This record gives sequence, C-alpha cells and structure tokens, in this order.
Amino acid sequence: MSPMRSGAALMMIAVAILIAACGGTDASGSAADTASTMRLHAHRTKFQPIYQSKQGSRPGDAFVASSEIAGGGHKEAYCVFSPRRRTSWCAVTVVLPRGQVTAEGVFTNAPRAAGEIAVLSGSGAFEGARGTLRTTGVAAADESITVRLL
Amino acid sequence: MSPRRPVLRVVAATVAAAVVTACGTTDSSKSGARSDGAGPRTLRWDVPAPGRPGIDGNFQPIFHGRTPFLPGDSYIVWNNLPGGSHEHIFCVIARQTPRRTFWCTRTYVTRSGQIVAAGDEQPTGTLPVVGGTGAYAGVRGTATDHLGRHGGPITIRVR
Repeated sequence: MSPMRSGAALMMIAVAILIAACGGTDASGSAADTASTMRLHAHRTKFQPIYQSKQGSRPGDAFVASSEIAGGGHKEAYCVFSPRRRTSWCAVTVVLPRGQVTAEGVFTNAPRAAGEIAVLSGSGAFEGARGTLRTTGVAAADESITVRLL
Repeated sequence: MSPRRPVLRVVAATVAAAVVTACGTTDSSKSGARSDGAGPRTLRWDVPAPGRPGIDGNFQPIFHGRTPFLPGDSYIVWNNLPGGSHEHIFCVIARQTPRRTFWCTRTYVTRSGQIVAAGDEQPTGTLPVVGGTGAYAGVRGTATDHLGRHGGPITIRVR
C-alpha cells in the first residue's frame, strides 16, 4: 500500500474514532439530547386569586394563572406572595404536545413576576431536562416565555 | 525512517487535536453556565440570630382554621442571608401524626443566581437541590439548613 493510501485509510479511522468519542460523551447525559431553546407565547385565560387578606397581593396570598400557548399547549402557574417586599415564589408548568417542563423559583418584582427561574425537570421529550425558564410575567395577559434547556 | 511513520504521526496528532477540540466544545455547550469548569461547589452562610421582623426576614402563616399548623395549612418564610442573598421557604403541612410531614421548597437567591431545593423537611434539615439559574443553572446536590432562634449555618453542596 502506498503512503498516500495508507494515510487516507488512517484518516478514515481517525474520523470514526472522533465520531465514536464524541458520541460517547453525548450518551452520558440524556438532557443533552434535548439541548435547545424554546420561545413561546402565552395568552392568559384564567386568573384565580387565593387571597387570605382583604387587599390581595399581600404576604401569604396566592393565585393560580392559566394560559394557552400559541401553537398548542398550555401553562399553569401557582404563586405565593412572600413576606419580603415585592417578592413571590412560583411554580410554573408548561404543557406542550411533546411533554411537560416544570420550573420553580422566586421573582423579586411581584406582582409582575417577571424574570428567570429554574427548570427542575420534564416529561416526554423533556424527560430529565434541566435549565431555566424566563418569563415576561407569569400572570400577564400576554406573556413571552423562553425555556432554555442545557 | 519509513515513509509511513510521518503519516502516522500527523494522523495521530490530528485525531488527538480533533477529539480534544470537538469534545471540549460539546462539553461547554452542554454545561452552559452551570459548570464554570468548577465541578462541585459548596456555599455556606453563617446566619446570625433573626433581626427585626419585616426587615431581615419574616414568617407568614397561611392557616385555614383557628388551630395553627394543621394538615393543609402552609407558610412562607423569608430570611436575609449575609452578603446580600436571601432565602424563601414555602411549606405545606401534609400531616402532624404519627410523623410530621412537611412538604417544603427552599429558594436561595444569590447574586450569581438562584438555587432551588425541595422535598420532605427532615430533622436533618437537608433537602435535595433540584435546580438553579445563572451560575447554578442545572445544578444538583443538597441544601442543609439549621436555622433556629439563634441563627445557624446553611450549607449547599452542588455540582
């Protein structure tokens, strides 16, 4: 075999090794398979206050907000107002045709509740997902949501 | 030296460089902000005794009857932590007997991002860390909170 042919053969082996090596890294993390960013638009359809105080939006007050997602799916948010000024804790679930993503965390601009919270996990195509969910306001009439999966 | 040796060396060097480059890139895109190349990380706050209610923290009961802390009741707590961070705890009481079961979620808000822990509040004070944002996006680990009337330590271990 000439040195040229031998070099070409070795290069093919090298490419195969490269693919195999990186493929092995991919397989080690299931969430990596779904690495992506989803940009969604939600329109609020229901807002249910769960108020203990007469004024509303006071510490201990809560609400559930439901929204329809453009293109299919819906989003549910449950939030409780913290005793800290302008702060609320929220759990948000985005239900899409391919599965669910659940996020949880604190917003420090209540009652608007805009910002970034942690994606804890998911189901279906999002099983084992980790990442972040950014919203322009969990209880807003129109909301932009960006889900970033690692 | 045979003509094959230089070819072999070049190919081997190319493969090694390509594997390192390609796999390094994949790693950093997967880990995103969470790794910082740091691996396991420990955060610890030594929290002093609670200060003035409403200034340094507060406890807000969400009780449904005259008797407090019944199953179905809940509460939300806020504590300022040293260094400008703060902690929020939201708990729902599942049962009091024969064994206390409080389902709780704790969120630690730091300058670098949030860390979320959730689960059954045990006497050990340890809950699993289930996620985070910013520098803590995608983290897993444990959060141990021993805050009492006289303050105490909070230790978070994540990777």
